[in-house]
Amino acid sequence: MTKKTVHNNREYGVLKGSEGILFLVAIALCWQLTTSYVQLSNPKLYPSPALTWHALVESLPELLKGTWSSFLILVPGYFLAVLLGASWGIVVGTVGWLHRAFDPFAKVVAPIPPTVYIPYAIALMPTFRLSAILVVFIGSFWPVFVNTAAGAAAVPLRYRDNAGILGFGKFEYMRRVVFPSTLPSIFSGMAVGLALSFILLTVAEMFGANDGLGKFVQYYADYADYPRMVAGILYTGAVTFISMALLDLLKRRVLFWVR
Amino acid sequence: MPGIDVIQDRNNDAAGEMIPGRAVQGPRTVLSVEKLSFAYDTVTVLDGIDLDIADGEFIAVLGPSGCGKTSLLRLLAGLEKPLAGRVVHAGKVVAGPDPSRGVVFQDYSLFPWLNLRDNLAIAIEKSRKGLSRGERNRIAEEYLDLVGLPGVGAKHPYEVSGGMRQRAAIARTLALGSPVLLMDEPFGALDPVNRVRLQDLMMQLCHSTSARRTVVFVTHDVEEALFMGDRVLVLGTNPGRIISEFTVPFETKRNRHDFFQSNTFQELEVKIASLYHADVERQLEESYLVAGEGASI
Repeated sequence: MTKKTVHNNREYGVLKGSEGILFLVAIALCWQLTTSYVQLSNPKLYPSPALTWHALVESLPELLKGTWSSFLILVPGYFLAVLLGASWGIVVGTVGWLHRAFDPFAKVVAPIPPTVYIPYAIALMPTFRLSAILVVFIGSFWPVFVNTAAGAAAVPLRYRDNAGILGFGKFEYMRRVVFPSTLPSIFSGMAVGLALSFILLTVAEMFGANDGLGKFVQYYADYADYPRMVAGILYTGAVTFISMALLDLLKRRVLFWVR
Repeated sequence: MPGIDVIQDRNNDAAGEMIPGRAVQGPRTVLSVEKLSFAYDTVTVLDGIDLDIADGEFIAVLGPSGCGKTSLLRLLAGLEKPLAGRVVHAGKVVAGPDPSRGVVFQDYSLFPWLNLRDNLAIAIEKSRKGLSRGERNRIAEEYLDLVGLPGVGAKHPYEVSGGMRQRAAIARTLALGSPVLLMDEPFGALDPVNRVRLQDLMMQLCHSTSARRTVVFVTHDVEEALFMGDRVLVLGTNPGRIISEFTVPFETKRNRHDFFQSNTFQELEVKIASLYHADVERQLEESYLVAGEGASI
């Protein structure tokens, strides 16, 4: 006799698999109900979904322009960090003496919260864009580097054995064995780095940008236009979500062989 | 099949130093092991192994688990450093792994991120310089055909069965052109049917003139060792050493069925089984003695 489990399909029926969407719908309903029937607080501070949607549609051109401006910071900073973090991570993880030389430095510098670099970066670089790129770069470099170096240092013995038997030289070994076998770690670092990039980007923009997603939110908060501000927050969330989803899609495609 | 019947003499590329006055170690000896010992931390795994392997010989190394047969194979390959003694391949001391000694592992000889064709193409790139990508791929497909894997070059290791992976691993080693083939329980993870098929494939490959290799084949299966090996070494445990060796001429086993029915096979199987038992009993006695003295096991 088989015991009935709580995971019985019939109990869920057609709703199984759509719990996530249902929860979002419930949240939206709560939002609508609390704004229209309950006077919880100042309606100006707590705009209704309809009002926010209206603000979102109205500000869409401005938000799209802001997205472009933000991506001009995010893309160079993040991709430079991925490129250098991954390649330096592979070298440091593979070459013993470099690891011993660089690791103590990394252990001290990597945990510094990258937001503290923002004022100095703004003072240091000639334009705001360059300083923001620098901050995004520093912030996403460390997670990518730390993950990659750890992955490269732990290349499974079986791959090393095979590389030896095939007669790979050091560089060939890094390119053809360490790099692919470290890709899962690189992608973990890239995901952390990307999430951090969005945080740093928006914080930096609140400091001193003329444009961009963080600036949009800060600007309408300053003018107490909360429907637009909330629309900006939701829009930024959507952009971050889409970016992370695209990275995840790329990861699945590249790491098809990981079982 | 063009390109495939060439066995390159890669002996001269073997890693390691030349030994003065010892260019040849007796007639046709290609691989020799001299007073080889090996230890993990403080545990002696192999103790004073001496062995000469002739060119083209198929050596089966038989032993219970923990006897150090995998360590012996890794030492032959140059994947481990001996505690004492040395391995000499084609007149040079083995100092590290080298394409002249190909290895087939139990289940991980291929890179999982490459499809089967590319796994072979890498080996071909190493053994024959100056070929175009197209030529390498074509030769890779030929090797896959040779081991009975036609038309699966585009598949990745995770997409095919264990038996197919091992076929591809053997093909890769052949494509690498290694004159010496080291195989570590290569069929140990396969089901009985695939196991027999691959044994037959190996026998066919190793006893055809064009692909003849020197093979060291590690197994814990007595039947497999007797069927495949020209010479069967039996390793004892604790520490690992050669306790006996038998010669089984290939002529007696051209037919698998006849061989397993033959008296030669049955006598050898009984002999080896009794050797195994003697070794196990000796170990049990030793552990009782240790226990009797009050030490914990």
